[in-house]
Amino acid sequence: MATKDEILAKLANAVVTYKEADAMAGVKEALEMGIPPVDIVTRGLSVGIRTVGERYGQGKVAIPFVMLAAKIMDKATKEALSKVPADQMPKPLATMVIGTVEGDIHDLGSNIVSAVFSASGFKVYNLGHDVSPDTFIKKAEEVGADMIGASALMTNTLQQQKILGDKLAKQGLREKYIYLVGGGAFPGAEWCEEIGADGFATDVTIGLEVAKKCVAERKKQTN
Amino acid sequence: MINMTQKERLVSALMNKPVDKTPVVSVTQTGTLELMNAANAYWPAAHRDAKLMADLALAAHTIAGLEAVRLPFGLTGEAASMGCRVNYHEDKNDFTPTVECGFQSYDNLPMPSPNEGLMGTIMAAVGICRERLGCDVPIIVGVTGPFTLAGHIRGVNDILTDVILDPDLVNKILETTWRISANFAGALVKKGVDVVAFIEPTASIIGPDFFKAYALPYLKKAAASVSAPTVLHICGDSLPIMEMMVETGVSGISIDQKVSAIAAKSAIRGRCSLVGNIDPVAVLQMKGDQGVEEASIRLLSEGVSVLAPGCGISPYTRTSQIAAMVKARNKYFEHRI
Repeated sequence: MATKDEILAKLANAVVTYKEADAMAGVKEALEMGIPPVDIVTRGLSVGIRTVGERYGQGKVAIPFVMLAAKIMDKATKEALSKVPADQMPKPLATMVIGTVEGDIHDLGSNIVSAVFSASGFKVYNLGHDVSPDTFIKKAEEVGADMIGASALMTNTLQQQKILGDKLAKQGLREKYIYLVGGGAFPGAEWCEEIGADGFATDVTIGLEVAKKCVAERKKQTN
Repeated sequence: MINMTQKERLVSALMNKPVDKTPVVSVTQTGTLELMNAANAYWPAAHRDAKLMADLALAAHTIAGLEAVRLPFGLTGEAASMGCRVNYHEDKNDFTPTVECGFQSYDNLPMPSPNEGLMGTIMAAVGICRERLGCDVPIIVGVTGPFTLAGHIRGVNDILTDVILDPDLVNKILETTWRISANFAGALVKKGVDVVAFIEPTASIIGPDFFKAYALPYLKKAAASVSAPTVLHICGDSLPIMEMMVETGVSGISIDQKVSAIAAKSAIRGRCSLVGNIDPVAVLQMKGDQGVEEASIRLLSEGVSVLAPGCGISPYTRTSQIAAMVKARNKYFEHRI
């Protein structure tokens, strides 16, 4: 009989090798063995998606593979956590509302960020694509988010990141949230400064570092 | 060299032939809020009304000074004509339209005529532009590339995993989409379009291996069917696929602002012309005239064949900033004489 560590390694490997059937079978086996569902996710599946994310960051795998790994991770995670009461879920590093800005249908970047951030201890509410500033803000307020992430993949839609930042400021909410921006079309630091965001990234692994740094700074300020 | 007409200049530059000076155009969208005001032609109406589309497209030439008229302003003509639902973002004049959903079945995909639906509207707008411009100003039309169109009708997220899980389905869809791209491009040339710009953003995110399998063969066929100069525009870092972009057989390669023009030129090795690549937001929208001039002159000295934005112009770009590209080019060539 496989040990707990072997099962967890098998789960990570199923994500890294893009094998959905293996991931689902692994979850079932792990649950039957009595491995805590949270461990199945944090010490098994999450290890796999983080590995895929790192390989993508190093240019070793293409986006379709990251998308596939993220889909498998999502399905297996839902299965593993389906019977865990909300009050037994571990406290997240931070809660994030993420989406692709209004007018932009390209949500693959925010989906990848969502998967990798979830696997790294963040509680993520992924709003998908074509998300209006009001929807971002409403959801962030509703779930008590710490962070809002807005992605844009087109030069035509980058302005929406500024519109969201301005709207947050106008409503007196700008300081309440860590505001992170990114996406394939992101022009760089000057744009980040122009829109008054707290940080930016065009790559998920860098994005994760930026987010963790912002959260740590925020915690330092509030302590 | 004697002064060339704008059409002669662009066509020669794209075919890597001598020019009197480097043309300044955009092979990507040109609609801005200022130009909408100036032309009294606003989005979303100008996305689907031939006269308004022509009015706004012409404004980028007559008012901003670009040396070609480029239309349309979005990438939805082919998908809309196939029957996909399009979101025009009603009541908002700063959004390009987006394709919302495609088909339930991919067995008998429609093959619309280039005169149908939104493709027909673009064709009509080309006719209006040609009538108003005469023969000396070139018209560029952006045609959705086969893989991007396949992404529209299947859904981008789905087709990205289909390339791994269901290659047959991807090829089945591409067998239809390349024909639609090619038929539309052919009809546009007959209508008087001088340059067809294949816009293939979705192919930029699949990586070199999948590009070779799914984008290259169909782009090759589409480009081969066009009897006018062609440009292939791919967003993002296209250097890893540059060799295959050359292999498509297009006349010119349009690079995103993320790509070094020097590196692209070195990779292309004179086999195609190079179009690009002023940063549409970080420079064209955000920098003043001086910033646009510096970026333009740098690119001209790096040897771009056609000076152009690296991607679609942001609707928030000032007209004076677009005009600054042309001024910079004039200054550059004055100093060279």
